[in-house]
Amino acid sequence: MSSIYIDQGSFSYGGSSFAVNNIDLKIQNGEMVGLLGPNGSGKTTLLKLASGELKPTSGQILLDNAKLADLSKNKIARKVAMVPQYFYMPFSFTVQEVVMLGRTPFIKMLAGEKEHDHNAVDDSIEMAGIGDFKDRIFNELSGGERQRAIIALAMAQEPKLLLLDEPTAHLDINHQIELLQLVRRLNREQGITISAVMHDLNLAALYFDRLIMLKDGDIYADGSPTEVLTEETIEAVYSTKVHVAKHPTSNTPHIILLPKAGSEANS
Amino acid sequence: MRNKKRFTLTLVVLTIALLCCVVIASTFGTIHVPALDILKMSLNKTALFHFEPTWTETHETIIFTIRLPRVLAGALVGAALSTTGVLFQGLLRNPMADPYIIGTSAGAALGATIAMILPITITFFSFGLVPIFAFFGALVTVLIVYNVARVGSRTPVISMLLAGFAISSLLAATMTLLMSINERLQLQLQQVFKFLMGSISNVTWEKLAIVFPLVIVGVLIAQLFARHLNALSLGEEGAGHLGINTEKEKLIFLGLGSLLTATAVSISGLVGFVGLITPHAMRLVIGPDNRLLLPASALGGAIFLIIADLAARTILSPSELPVGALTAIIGAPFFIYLLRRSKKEYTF
Repeated sequence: MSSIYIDQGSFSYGGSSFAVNNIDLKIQNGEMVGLLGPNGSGKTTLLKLASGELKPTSGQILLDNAKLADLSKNKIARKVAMVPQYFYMPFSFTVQEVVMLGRTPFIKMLAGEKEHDHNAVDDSIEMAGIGDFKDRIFNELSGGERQRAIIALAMAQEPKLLLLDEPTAHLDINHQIELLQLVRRLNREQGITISAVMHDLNLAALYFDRLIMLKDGDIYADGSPTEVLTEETIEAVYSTKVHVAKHPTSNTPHIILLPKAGSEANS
Repeated sequence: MRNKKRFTLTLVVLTIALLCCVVIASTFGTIHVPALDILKMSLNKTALFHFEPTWTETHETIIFTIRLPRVLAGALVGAALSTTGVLFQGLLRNPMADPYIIGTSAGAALGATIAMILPITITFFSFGLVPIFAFFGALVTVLIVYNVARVGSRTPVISMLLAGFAISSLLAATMTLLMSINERLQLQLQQVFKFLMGSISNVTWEKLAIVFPLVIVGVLIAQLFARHLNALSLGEEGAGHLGINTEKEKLIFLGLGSLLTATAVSISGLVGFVGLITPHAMRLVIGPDNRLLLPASALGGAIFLIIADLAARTILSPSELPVGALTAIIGAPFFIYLLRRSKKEYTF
């Protein structure tokens, strides 16, 4: 378990506009947090700040009360794992070899893999349910299988904080559910702190305990799905009118898109 | 590595094959010297063995002053270029990278040319400024090509080929220009031609004494970073999330590749496609894990270039072909085949 605290963090990709503007955000041990917001609202930038990939232009980021800027990349990698949105593998490594890459931060330059490294890889493979194709070539997997293999790679890092950038993008609905089910299990059973950028509001409402809605690099709303996913908030952030209903079994908010007045949608 | 046995077996087999190639390649030439004699006279040199000579002194002179240095030089050039190929392919995340294709060799060659026409002569052992200039030429070129060709964290084949081609052309034109205006180079036109075509000749033990440790050290350092090179196949960001200081290691890989290329170029000139063919062939057999791929490619490249050079000096005996022409005749069609095969993957 790890906590991350973004203390008045700002980031600019250059120029005068800020992708993330003076954000104060604390994610506690064992939380499962979804980051929402339209394109360009700063959610991926926020994730990259938390992973140490980007350094804040101003403000600071604390990982378990230690300044992220003072930690070596290796120290960070031993606590924080990142599942990227886009993953390109140029060589024909097997799934198992790809998952073993997750042990990189723990293996010294001249040392070989220890018993524990193999165990961590085996456990991650089992947890992600990819044992059946662990000897197949990673590049030949389907989208859903690939995504689970990448999660296994991140799990092999034995992270305390797992960051995911739109993990369900490009997946079929069965794989979306499967993947979020897996992520939630990691959170509940192993206490891993989770923070994920989500595009699909309904999926986010179903699986996350806390949602953070970003708008123009600022936090617009922060709270439980019921608190954040209101018709007013969504209209303010996405400039789109929606109807918010209740999910029939989970009682979480369920967003129903409304066609704009005057247009005919399958009438 | 789970498969320690496979690792050891592969390297042992390749090492034995390399030793056999060295001996067998030395038997060929205008005068045939039996392999057993070569073995015996080499072992006698160690002063541990004292075989009765079944050979003439001329044989011994031919083997030790001409053939062995040349064969060993071929092995070192092959090992250096193949290791560089693996390093650049891993770093650029692009299986088509090769020191010749991306212009590193041309950069080293231009550096060497500039050193040759400089009015200063400083010599370390039997090398002058040439290898130092070759190193910086290679390093600057690869930095330029790398930065021009990069799109995000990827180096797409197309932009890499274009950047490599443009820079190589620029460097080759500069070299031609230097040659036509410099009188000293005009006098050595034959040699310059050999250099540009890639040719291993005039190798001395003094030169080998420098090249050998450089190549061995280069290959060993590369081996230290093999696991990190694996992680770099996830891209710079991905490797960063695995705790790798990518900015620093990128420089190490580029510097190491430049050093190995410059070392190779300093004794063979521009030999192309070795760094492309060898790692590819090796990957097909042993897979992409750089921990095995690096040493296997070094050994495989050594074998490949010994055979290519043997062909270059025997096919039209007594006259010689430049070995670079031979590797290009084999390598260029192979390269085109790879491009065609991976066409789907590389359309944007």
